[in-house]
Amino acid sequence: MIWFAWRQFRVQALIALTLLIALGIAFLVTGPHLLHTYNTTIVGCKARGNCNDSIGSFLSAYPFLQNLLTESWLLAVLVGIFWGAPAVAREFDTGTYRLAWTQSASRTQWLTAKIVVGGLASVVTAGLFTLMATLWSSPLDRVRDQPFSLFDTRDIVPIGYALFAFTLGVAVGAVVRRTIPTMAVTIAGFAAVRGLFNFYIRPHFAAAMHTVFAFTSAGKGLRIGGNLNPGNWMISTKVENAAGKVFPNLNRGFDFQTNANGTTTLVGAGVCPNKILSLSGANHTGMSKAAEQCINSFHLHELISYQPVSRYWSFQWYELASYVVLSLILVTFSVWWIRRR
Amino acid sequence: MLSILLGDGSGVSSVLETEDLTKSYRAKMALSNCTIDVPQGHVVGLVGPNGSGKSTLLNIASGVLSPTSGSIQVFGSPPASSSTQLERVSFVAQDTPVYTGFSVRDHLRYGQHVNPKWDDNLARRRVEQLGLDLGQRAGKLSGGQRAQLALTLAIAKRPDFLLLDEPVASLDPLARREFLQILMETVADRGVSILLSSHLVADIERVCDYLIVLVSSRVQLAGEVEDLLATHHRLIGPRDATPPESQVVIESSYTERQSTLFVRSDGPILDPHWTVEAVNLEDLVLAYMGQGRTEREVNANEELA
Repeated sequence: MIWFAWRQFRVQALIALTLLIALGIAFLVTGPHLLHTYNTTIVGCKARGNCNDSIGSFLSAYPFLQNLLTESWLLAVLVGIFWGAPAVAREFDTGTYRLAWTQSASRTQWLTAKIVVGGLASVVTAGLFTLMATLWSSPLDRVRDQPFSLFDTRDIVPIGYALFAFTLGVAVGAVVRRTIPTMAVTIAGFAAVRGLFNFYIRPHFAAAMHTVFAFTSAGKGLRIGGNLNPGNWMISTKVENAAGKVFPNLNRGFDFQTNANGTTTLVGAGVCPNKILSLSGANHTGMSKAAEQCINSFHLHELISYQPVSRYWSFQWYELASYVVLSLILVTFSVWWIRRR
Repeated sequence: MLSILLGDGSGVSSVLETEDLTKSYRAKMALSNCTIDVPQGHVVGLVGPNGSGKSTLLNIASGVLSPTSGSIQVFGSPPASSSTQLERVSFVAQDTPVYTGFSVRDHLRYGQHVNPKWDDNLARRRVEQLGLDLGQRAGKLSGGQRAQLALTLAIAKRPDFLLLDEPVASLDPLARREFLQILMETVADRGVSILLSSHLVADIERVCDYLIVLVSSRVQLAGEVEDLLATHHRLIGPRDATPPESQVVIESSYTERQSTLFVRSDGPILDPHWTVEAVNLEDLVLAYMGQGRTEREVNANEELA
């Protein structure tokens, strides 16, 4: 049975292998140069005092390959629609399921063989891809120092996405029984689950940490925010006063508005208790003492929820495990569905 | 001891036994209350117009499709319920599906991988006889060659029961004759029971010794061809003569002076008013198809009223 599944799959496997080799060659040709540039222009740039310029030009190297890696979620989609969706649906399209289901080997064995071969191929392909991508872009990522911003295109999670997309294609194909609609439903389902994870589930893998920054004016003008590690993943920020009242419309640049009766409003907060003269909305650096007093009078502080950068790897594992579990559920469903027909 | 060995003989000797077998798709009936009991060792012809439920019955019997209600047993247990069950039954589905990307050799290898009783010598001999190129992709075969390849897979599996859904529909007359001939050789060699569907009576007449007529998802007639021919007659008599007693009239037609009745009768017909003519299989099938249609119209009219 494994032979049969492999025989059916081998053209697709060959195409994937060809693409991986092509990509591998592109990485091999450009990778050493990227590393060399890092070692010569970034390392020691502080001593030379030209870090901003070097980083700027370094990060814009090989834009095509960089963009390709940013869009690497496409890999899982391709696996889903070209490997997962046709695996079962195509047999219904061509009628060959009647041939397959009436051999001595049961249809469960038939389905299992397809899932084992296709699933393994998905894992190996995504594994090789993400290994190459992560290695190649590691000098760039070190400079960026924001691992969470590229969370779903690096390290181990792409393997989970590919396996999930494949098993989703198989399961949808078993139900829908037509290849083209199966492809469409697979894309939609994959996008929906990814969206759900990115926006609603991943931020809550662990309870977020909180930090409070007061708005203070310490002689030199107003300070907002603070020195959080830029690698942390900001989940939410909100401005509230001592009583816990939230000011969602407060612009962090602070906009003032002169009212008809001569008073001044801090936009998004309220009317200033003191009088502020000669306002210039654009001129924040020259903000008068009066403006500072007005801001301080609201007793504002900023509440920041974030996931610290130290959680990056545990989040990678949680996400991978979640997608593997989802895949197992889909496999179980597919087997159950095919057996009951 | 002997009685124990022989006991329950009725169940064992049936190859296919259904009771009130029904398959419906939403509002549409594909098969309604089909009850048949086919003994082993026959070549059974399943005839009926297109859409009468032939494919549905075959797909259920092969285990590919589940019935909505009723029961079906193949060799005494539900289709595809065990690996033994799967081993004993082969199915050549409608349009003889094969893997278009596989070569003929791949198909034989596939058959060998998934069937423990696979007879590779038989398969290779057949492929050679048919003049099929082992390296040829199945997608490039002609309709007849594809049907032959599908039949080869089904036969080399060495089943006890072979199901074929319109296997010769796409074949030219010569290929059709050849296909049926090979089929008959197989039965003669191995004593396989065969259930074969067709909407062409000529095919059935050539090879079948048991007949099932399906019309509008219902079984109209089932029995051994020999018995059916012996118990059905065409009676020709004067227009005003009353039909003889203890006859079931299947179909009747009248001219100004003459009545022609198609009847079923277990005993001899002695009424001197009537001339008795023997019928052939085609007459039989057409008469029962006509009856099925009439019933359907009556039902439709009742529903309207």
